[in-house]
Amino acid sequence: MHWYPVELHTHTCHSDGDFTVKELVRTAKRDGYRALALTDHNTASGVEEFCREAKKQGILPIRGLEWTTYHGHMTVLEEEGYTDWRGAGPEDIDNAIRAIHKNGGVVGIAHPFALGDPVNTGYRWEFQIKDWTQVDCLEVWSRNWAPRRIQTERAFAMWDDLLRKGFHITAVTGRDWHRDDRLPCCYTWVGMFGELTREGLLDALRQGRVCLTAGPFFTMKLFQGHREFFPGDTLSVSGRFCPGTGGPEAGTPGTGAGEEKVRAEVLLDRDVLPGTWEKKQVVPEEICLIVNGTVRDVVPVRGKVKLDIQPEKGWARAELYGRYYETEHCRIAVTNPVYID
Amino acid sequence: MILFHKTWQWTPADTKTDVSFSFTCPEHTEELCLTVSFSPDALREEQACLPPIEHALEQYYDGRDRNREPMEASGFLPLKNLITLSLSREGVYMGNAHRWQASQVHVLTKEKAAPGFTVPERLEGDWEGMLHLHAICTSACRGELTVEAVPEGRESDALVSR
Repeated sequence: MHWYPVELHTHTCHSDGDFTVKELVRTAKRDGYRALALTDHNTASGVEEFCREAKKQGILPIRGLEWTTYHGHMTVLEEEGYTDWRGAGPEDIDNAIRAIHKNGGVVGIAHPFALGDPVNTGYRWEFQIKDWTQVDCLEVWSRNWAPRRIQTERAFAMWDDLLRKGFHITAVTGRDWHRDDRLPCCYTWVGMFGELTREGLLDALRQGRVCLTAGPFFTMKLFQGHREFFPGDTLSVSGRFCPGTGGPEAGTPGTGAGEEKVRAEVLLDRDVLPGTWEKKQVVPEEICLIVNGTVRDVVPVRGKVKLDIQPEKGWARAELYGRYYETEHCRIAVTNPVYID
Repeated sequence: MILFHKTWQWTPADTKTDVSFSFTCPEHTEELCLTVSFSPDALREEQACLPPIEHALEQYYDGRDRNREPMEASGFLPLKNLITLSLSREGVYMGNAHRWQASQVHVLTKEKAAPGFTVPERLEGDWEGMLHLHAICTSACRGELTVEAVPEGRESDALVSR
């Protein structure tokens, strides 16, 4: 599995950003991004120049825009065609997302708990989603200093609640990058087998093959026998489940692989993207293994950690905690879940 | 040639509403020039600004300890009006100028378009647009929109005065 750092929420002077398209791409190159989405507010007018400049710099360009409505913001990536953002009422968003999907686009809810009206009209997500299976991504970390923000805490609670209800929604970061402020930000890493491609990136977003970090690279995989499962994958467990305990019922005949022990391997790499994050200010201390929203294991940080887990229907993911600037015990990296069926 | 001109008086009750307009651009037009302005651009009276900002902060914190991410209502002054303009030509979306300036001039030709708009293949035809009243924070706000077609070989008055 290869992992690539990407940024999927940016703005230029084609809307309210300070960046020119060239400046954005050059700055993204400096900051180590391998793919970059341009998501100006309600417009794709900069996309043609963006694609040209990104290719010159060896960055994979992702075409996009940010739906900037009165009731919430939503990044839309690689839609072939156009779904009109205008006139979307608080209860109309499901149909809009379906239309974007029909055009092959990927949608992500942006900064759902940002400071809203009247300071930032429409920034706070107020659309009433009736069908959460439609939503591809949720920005759990937005803008600078994201790990220590209260909107982050609320976005993670929203994500956990949706996971608990059985929805597979991919958590992403969004730098919501308007200018070269050089403030601490978070990175989204997308995983794929082989080279970074546009289709591979979109699939990774749809599936959840995504890890997030405020510093070191951090990911997890589960092993079932010799099979590996990465974030976004679904691991099948045979046998019936005991209500409440989740584990396979004793004496239930299984089908072989499903009865094998499941092991989690968590990997941490502090040597990625040097110069883009401050090692003295983002200090990993503990790794948490979370199964169905409950912390199952907490271990001190090491390069590679292996943990046995009791497979339960639901999901398992890992989080990294430590010091983030002056905030102690702060969440500083997260994997999307491996789903267990 | 003026294709469209109108003024409006808006109030906070108009926040989150759209104002539609349309015009027909004649043949042999070299450029379209849309001038949009609104005044005042912001609510500056502190006494009037602070309660709605405080309400927004209360929604943000949702009962959590404010010391964890301290923000003061006074740090968000003034409260700006935000009005943006979007365009379609012959039913095809051409973009949106999502910017904060209270006075904007958007020029479109067949070779070049103002930031936020895609370059139109043709200028002539039926255009529709909207002013998006994201936020009217002032008790009254006067808006004005002028659409001018500059015939081939002539210069726009709006451009001269810009």
